[in-house]
Amino acid sequence: MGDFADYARKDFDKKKNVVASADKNDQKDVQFNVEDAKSFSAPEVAVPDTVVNTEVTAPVVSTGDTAVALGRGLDVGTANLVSSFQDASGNVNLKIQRNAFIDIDCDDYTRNMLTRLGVQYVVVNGRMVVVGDPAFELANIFNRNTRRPMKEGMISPDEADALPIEKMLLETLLEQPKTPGEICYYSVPAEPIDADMNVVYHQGVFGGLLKGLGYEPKPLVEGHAVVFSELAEDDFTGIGISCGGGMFNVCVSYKSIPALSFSTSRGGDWIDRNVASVLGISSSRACGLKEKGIDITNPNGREEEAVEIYYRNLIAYTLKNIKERFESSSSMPKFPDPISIVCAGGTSMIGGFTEVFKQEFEKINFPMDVKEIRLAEDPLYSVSKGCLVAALSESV
Amino acid sequence: MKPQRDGDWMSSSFDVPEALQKRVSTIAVDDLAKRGMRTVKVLDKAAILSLVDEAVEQVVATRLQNLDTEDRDKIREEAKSQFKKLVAERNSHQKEKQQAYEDRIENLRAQAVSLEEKLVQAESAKEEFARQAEEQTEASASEVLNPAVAPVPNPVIDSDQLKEVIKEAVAEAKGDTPSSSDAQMEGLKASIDALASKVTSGSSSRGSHSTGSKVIEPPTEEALVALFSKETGEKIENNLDQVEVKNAKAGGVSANLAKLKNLRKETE
Repeated sequence: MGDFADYARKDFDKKKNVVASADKNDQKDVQFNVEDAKSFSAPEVAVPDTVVNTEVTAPVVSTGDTAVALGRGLDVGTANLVSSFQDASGNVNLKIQRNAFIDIDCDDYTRNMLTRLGVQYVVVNGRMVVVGDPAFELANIFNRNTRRPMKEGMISPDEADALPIEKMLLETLLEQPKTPGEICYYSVPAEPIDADMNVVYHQGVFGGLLKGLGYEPKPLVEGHAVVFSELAEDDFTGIGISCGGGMFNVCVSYKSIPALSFSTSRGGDWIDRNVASVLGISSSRACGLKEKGIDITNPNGREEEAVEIYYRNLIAYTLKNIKERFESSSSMPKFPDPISIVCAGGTSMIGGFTEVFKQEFEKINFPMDVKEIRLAEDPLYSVSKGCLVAALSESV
Repeated sequence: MKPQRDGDWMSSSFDVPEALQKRVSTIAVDDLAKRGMRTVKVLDKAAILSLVDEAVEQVVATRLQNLDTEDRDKIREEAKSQFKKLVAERNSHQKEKQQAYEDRIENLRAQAVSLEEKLVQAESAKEEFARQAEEQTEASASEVLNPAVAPVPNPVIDSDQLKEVIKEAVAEAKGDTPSSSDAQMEGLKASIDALASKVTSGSSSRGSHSTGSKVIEPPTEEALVALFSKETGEKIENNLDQVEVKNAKAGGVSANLAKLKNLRKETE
């Protein structure tokens, strides 16, 4: 535990401010209002013309000092869990939890130190299970791999014991429903086209879990959630791609109706595994390397080059699969106008992703006219926000 | 040795008050007067008991002084042998209890070993079945579905029943177990529980592979809701409510929502 003690001392000052105080009502988020923005000399941004009716809101329920709209969004991702709700002022509030954990020795010192550091833990079978981002940090320090409740977009058969932990994480992220049977849309992967798996079990387990929490669960394929979140200006017409840790999920939508949805079974984890393999490091460390803020259009050094090579390969692989699927599908709509492709998800957040995507896109003869390829406004939150839109639209 | 001056001691050997009661005669005061007795000397019961005590003390003291060495040794030996006999009886009783307890532990250990063996058998049977299924798949897709493929004779292990039996056995064994062995029993119970869990997961994984495909049969919605709604009664230690998860705010979705609702109205 010496390493961890050093780590704890080093990070204590940095992180102690995030420890929840006894008073849960303390506002911890930094929020800026219009006055704050003006004082920062922030440029004024015109409201887009497409905002047709901002008065439309979902039913609101008051809970003491706060009021929130009924309806929840939940992104059940291989790498991250993201919940969202809309507050009375129309802001989307999100809670994010890394979908990973690591088990360490359990003793009183560690127990106290973790709480002081703001690190979440659960004690299971006498072992202390650190959950969330700190699990990644600890894994990197000890050069171990984190344990992952999900694999390739679905519940991992290797970590069936993680379900109780997953349930507790969701309870923390979603809290209790404001009213019994509050609608919660949760993301599910579409059927993969390159793997012999189906989503029925995964969907059923999370549906049951949410129902157990008191919600009315409704599944939404990830790509469709991206469409709801990012393609409102295009009348929800276009292609939404969720670039996740376990999979890439694709949805072709016409006026909010999904015409074609599928997934491919390679994602950010595939890059991590391969980079780890060629560099001789753990997957968790490879993930840390990937997320440290590199630009794949301008890789520096052997490690970044490895990341760039596998990113490019993953994008090319995904585009090839999309093209083949589109060409073989009889249900593809004929769009009258060129469409947009929007990429979302944590794997799309690396520097230069869109540029590499465009480069690889140019190499194939894509069977549709595309007017733009862009990144989602909030790539990591896009799926959860899309689920929230779906939930709010049904909460009447 | 000074005799105790209480009724219990008296009653255990010779009940002086009762003896007095039996032997006294009652005469009316008038009768005494008729006999010409004008005064009587009265000795109360406590005084009599006290006198008896004193008399006994004196006699015992005198006799002990008169005891020769041989008698003293004899008395000491008798006392020793009596004491040893009592100790032996007590030890024998405890030994029996200990033996019974150890037998129970041994029995439970045997059950655990048996379970372990069954688990190993189940796993090897599972592997064998997977291998057979693979061979069948290669040979012919239709043969895989052929009901002639004999199911692997898995040992039937009802984990709930098993756990129940073990719990009862452990509870029974604990009932008259010395407290110093509680930790041992708990350890054994935990290992048996863990083993039973292993058997359970082994059984469930057998079930998931029994189709010879990666596709897992989904449980019913009722089963899932029951699973995740079930209160185990055990509080899992955690600090999730003490530590705030990462929060963020993102741009509103009102515009998207309005657009979606308008679109739906148009299509209706």
